Amino acid sequence: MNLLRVHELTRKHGDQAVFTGVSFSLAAGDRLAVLGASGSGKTTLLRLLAGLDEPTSGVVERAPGLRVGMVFQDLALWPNLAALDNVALALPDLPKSQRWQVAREALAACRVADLASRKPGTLSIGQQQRVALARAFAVRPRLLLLDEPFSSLDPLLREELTAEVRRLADEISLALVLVTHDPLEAMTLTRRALVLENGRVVEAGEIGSLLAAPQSRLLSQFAAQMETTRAVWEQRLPSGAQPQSER
Amino acid sequence: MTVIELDSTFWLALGRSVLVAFFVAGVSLAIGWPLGVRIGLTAFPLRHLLLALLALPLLLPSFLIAIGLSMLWRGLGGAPAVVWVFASLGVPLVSFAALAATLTLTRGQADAARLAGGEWHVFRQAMRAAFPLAGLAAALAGVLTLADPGPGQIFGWPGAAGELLTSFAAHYDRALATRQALALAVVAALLAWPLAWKLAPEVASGLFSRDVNRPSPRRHAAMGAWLFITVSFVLLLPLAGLFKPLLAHAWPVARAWNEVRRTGGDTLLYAALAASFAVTLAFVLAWSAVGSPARRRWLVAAALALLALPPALPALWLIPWSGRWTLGTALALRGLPLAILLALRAVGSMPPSWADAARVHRVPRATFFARVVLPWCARWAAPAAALAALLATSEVGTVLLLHPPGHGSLPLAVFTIMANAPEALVAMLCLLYVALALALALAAQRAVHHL
Repeated sequence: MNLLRVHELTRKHGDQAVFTGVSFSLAAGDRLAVLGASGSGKTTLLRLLAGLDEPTSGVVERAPGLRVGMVFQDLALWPNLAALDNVALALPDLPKSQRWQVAREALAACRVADLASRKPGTLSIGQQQRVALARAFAVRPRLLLLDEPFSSLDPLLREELTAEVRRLADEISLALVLVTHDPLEAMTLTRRALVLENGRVVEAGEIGSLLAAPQSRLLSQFAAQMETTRAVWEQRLPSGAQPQSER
Repeated sequence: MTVIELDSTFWLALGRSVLVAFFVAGVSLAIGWPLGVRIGLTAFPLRHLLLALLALPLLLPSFLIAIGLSMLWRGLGGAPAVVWVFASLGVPLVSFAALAATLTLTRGQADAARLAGGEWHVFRQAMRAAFPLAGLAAALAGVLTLADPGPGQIFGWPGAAGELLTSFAAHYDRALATRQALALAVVAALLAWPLAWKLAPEVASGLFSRDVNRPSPRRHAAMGAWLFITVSFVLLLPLAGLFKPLLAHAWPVARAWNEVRRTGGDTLLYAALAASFAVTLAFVLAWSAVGSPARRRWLVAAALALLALPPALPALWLIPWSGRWTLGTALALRGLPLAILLALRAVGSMPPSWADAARVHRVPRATFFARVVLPWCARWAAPAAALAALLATSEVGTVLLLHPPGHGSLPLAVFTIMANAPEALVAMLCLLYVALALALALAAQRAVHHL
């Protein structure tokens, strides 16, 4: 059964179309990346899925009672509240007695239980990301929306947090929509992608298949970069050596 | 037209006021512009204390500075003395405007200028970037002098605001005072509105900007000396003047205390009423303008223009309803402009994603407002209330017109007794007021520092 169905979605700002005719559906456990360059309308699409904005035309159908968690690009942690309060405040449907317990569990699941009393301003960016993830996971969502949450992180921290999201999402068979401009990030979290360019979906499907015959500028460039990287890698390695990951 | 019915004495006084306004703008710009930029680019010992002292004259009644200078140098008088007093308020205003503009420079911009031509080049670029805001603040400092009667009265250079004060306080001619206030308001509005309208987008965008990665300040010990000399001219010398009679005479502690006890309660009440009204109204207006750049511009321009209008004008209209609440409301207009700017900063510095996160996670609006929005705004409302209270307290004309019999404020008491009471008593009351203002200024600065 579909958790989310999007049909012929169009969003305009004034006369200017941000995107037109976007359609897809998500079932439990599905993971979809929305790829596109800056300004292609990715975040606008995610806001429509979250119900924060209304489409100009088209339909967003959510399963009845669908619980949604979201991690914002700027994390949107409330600065005057401690990490625990940030999570607990996002659980208004729970009785007060349970709220703190669930918030603590969410922080523990994201490995920041010891930072519960700290305010966001006193945390490192990686710790803030984990608190934002904890807030999104605490509501026990069936659909998680991620708006380029790792774009400002260094590669090591990004890899660590991506693995964390993958683990948490696997545990509860979570449907996930990731908005990003980075195909590599998309590949590490999802199998399916749609690519927005010039206000339209120019390609959609399994990421592996898309990269084999890219139609969009974004994926063409990425595929070319990967080829270049592979060629450079092979040239620089001593003859007979294998990359560490292939051993 | 009724305004034309004013006699030549008033128009001559208005001419003197405009002359003073131009000089004040020039002096304030010449000193405050480079000073503010330098403060923004350098680190030096006692920076916070010296900045608090530089801000203090903005929160004092101008006549208090004038009394201090007149006690320091008996022969001081005329236009130069009036310009000095008003520049004591203008220089800090321009300095803080230039400082605010300098703080919007990013570390990258400063480093690029440094690589291109060293520290001098950074300073020149920062001066250029700060000029629009500093220049407009200087112009506003000039316009602000038009509505202030105190220094002109004390130094024998009566301006239009002095004529207005004489009309209602000495001649009890409310109709004449109203015509004069209107004429003054028209001149002030004609000068202030174009400036305010031009300044508004820059101020609004500054208020709504996110924090930038600021350049690390360079240590510059001499800068502390430069700032200290400026603070001496705008604050410490007038304060020294206030101490002078206390060195020659016995301290009239009992009389001063009696005067403070008689007026202190009412002074605090008026300040509290004015601060509450100003801050509440400011936040309501800021919320109503937050979504629209056009409304923001109008609001900022109106706030800046309101700052330049004679406070006596609304007070003259409110005389039939005079009383404590009316007085509190009228005084709120004095602090309202600054409260609006701080409220806009509070509202504008909240990213929309905070509300989005609350909506996505179904946080009830009332809970979100109480737990996130209110505490955030309170951190700006506290200094806004302190500033509004101080500005309201330093206003004399409005209190003179609207206070119930026997319920004047402390500054009004000083203003009314300064001609006849012993100098030592006047000086002591002035110093008590300065101490109160300093305590509040430091508290406000501390609150802003923690934002």
